[in-house]
Amino acid sequence: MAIIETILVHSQLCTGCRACELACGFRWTKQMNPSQASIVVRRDDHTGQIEVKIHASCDVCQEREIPMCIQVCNPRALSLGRKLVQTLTQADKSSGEES
Amino acid sequence: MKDQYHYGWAGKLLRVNLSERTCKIEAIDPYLPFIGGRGISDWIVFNFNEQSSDVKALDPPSVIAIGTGPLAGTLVPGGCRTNISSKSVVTGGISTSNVGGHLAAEMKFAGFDQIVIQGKAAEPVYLLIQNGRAEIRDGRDLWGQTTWKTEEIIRGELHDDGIRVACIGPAGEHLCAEACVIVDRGRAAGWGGCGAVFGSKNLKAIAVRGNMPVRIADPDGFWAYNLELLNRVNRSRASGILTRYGTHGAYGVGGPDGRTPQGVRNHRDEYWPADKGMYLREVVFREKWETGRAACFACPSACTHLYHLPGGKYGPLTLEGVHTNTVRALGSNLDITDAEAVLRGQALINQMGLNTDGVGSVMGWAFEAYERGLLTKEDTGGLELTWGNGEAMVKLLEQIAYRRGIGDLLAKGVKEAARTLGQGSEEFAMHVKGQEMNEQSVRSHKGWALGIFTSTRGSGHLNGASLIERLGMDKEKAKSLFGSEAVSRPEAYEGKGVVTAWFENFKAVVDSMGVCYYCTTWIDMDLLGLDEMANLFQLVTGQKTSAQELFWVGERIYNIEKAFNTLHAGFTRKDDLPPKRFMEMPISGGPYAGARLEPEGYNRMLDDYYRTHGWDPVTSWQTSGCLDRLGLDEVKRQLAQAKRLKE
Repeated sequence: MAIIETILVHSQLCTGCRACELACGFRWTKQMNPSQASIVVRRDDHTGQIEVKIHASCDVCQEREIPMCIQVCNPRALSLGRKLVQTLTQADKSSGEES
Repeated sequence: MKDQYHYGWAGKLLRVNLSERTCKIEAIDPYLPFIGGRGISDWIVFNFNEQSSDVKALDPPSVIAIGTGPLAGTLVPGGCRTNISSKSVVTGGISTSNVGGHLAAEMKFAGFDQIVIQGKAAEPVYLLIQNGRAEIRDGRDLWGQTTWKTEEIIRGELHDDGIRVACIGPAGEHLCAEACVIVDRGRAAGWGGCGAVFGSKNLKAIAVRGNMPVRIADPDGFWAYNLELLNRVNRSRASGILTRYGTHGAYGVGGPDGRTPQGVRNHRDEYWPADKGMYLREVVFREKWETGRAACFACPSACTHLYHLPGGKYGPLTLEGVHTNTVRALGSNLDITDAEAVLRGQALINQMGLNTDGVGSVMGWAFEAYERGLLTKEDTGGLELTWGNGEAMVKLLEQIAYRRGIGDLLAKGVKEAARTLGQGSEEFAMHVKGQEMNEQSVRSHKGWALGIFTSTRGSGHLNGASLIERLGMDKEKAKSLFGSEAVSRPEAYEGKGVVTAWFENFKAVVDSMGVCYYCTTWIDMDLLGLDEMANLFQLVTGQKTSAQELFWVGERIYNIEKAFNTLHAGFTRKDDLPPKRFMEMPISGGPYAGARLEPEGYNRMLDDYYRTHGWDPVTSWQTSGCLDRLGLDEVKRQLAQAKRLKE
């Protein structure tokens, strides 16, 4: 097990503005380019509910103290957190290869 | 095209001819002296109409331009606005209408800054724009649908819920004067009957989707500067009110206790006592029905709130977009205190594709005509249009959209409806230049009022009407900027002409950049002003500019609109005057009791306003000197030819 940094989403606070998508796309491309973002915001128009997805490509802006998506999230729907993840040991990897 | 690609702009203009079913792509470059959005759209509409001055707004050849600016689709606070310009259905002059949501950004990501539409399709169609391509598609299945259903069908058909849709509802299809274009279900480009222009062309919707980038000339500089601006928005008290209470905050905070006068009973008064206003305060909506907030693209303020009405007479219902104008148009101006009826009314307005201010005004007129016995129960098909009757208001909205019964008369717009009914009803038809009005603080805040009545698109407080009278301003700053310390005093007439002209030009810049007025110095002097716009413009586009230069461009744009009005609608000084009611019927109570617009004071303010713009105070016409200074030779030529230019 290991503890890694992650983006925590408080979707009830999200207003669906997509500034996080812009910031993330900007981080990768230096352009305003949400299609390249590791975070995606979608709103259900019928219920008003918002879903925020973070892709595996998100590296929590390793080179920065605060990830760029969090910097531009005005309603504070994003924050930096930690989570426990299962890591593979060398033994696990070896047994995986064998099977 | 000069460059392989642009910074800031998408770089392309889409020209659609629905009669010929053609879509042509042009470079945006020749239009860039007008920045984008409203500036470019206005110039296109002005030039087209010079060639076809007798074309009416709803005639097939008329042109409608939908555009956004270089700052839209970026992280700039409020960089989300789309402008729609055309000849106005109701004034015969220019119509400029501005809408938020996510359309502007998606247009840029799809590769276009402007969409220019002419002609009339043989059958209903919609326009699909995706990544630099455009296609006219069959829209027969969409015709007759509400705006909400239209969006749902298009997204379903294309299996993509990221598609942004600007569409009309039944009101646009039936060519109602109050028809607007709805974006993202709850945002409206409301003015000038632009929804009817769509309808007249058999154009149901524009659907946009893209994943192309908006390039930034100085990415690192832009990022750092933008964070600074974001901090300013966070610190701003005015932005805080918008975030917490929505635009309704202006009503909820100040309305019911009389600090913010509201149009009451067809604007015969602007004092609504607290025992009525308490039912429609923002806090009531928030505590009972609010479920969240919904921001326009990249907007830190998120002034639109979401509501859910679980049951009752009008539920279940989920909607957004109850704003300060809603509560006035469907509340105080009809003396309605039924908040659930207001929610249902707002939802219907969005679904039908109606302009809140327009229908609020025409319903106020109808209720007053009913009170005076000029309209009877027979005329209304049994509806009792009595003050405070929320149920009648809800039914009437649908009748207007479908032109059923009395709705057919009201769908003409308030000026034309009053002309048709006659019997002196013209006297209480509340409009400016033919455009319906739904206002607040007209009698009490003199500069605010001036901005409403001089607006080129007819009535409306989103051009020159200044909030300085409410926000206050340091005396020395006021004197240095506007030549008078009195500009922050609501009751004063001094200096207001200068302030109004300044904000008119400034707003033209804001709309051309693609930015929301609510993120600018209009609501807080610490937010985006001309200096900030100039800095952002340079960082985003890489082109040098200055605050002075941008202001000059804004002045050019406003003068193009003014000239269009002079040429096509023949407006003169008399068209910049308020309806008599605001001069003759004072506010009855509250802190502004007794306030009204005094004719002498108003006219003095108007004189100052014309002089500041460099226009002739007698006729209101533009002068040669003004147009020479602005380099608008073609505009000058046309005005001279029409003999409507002051040498």
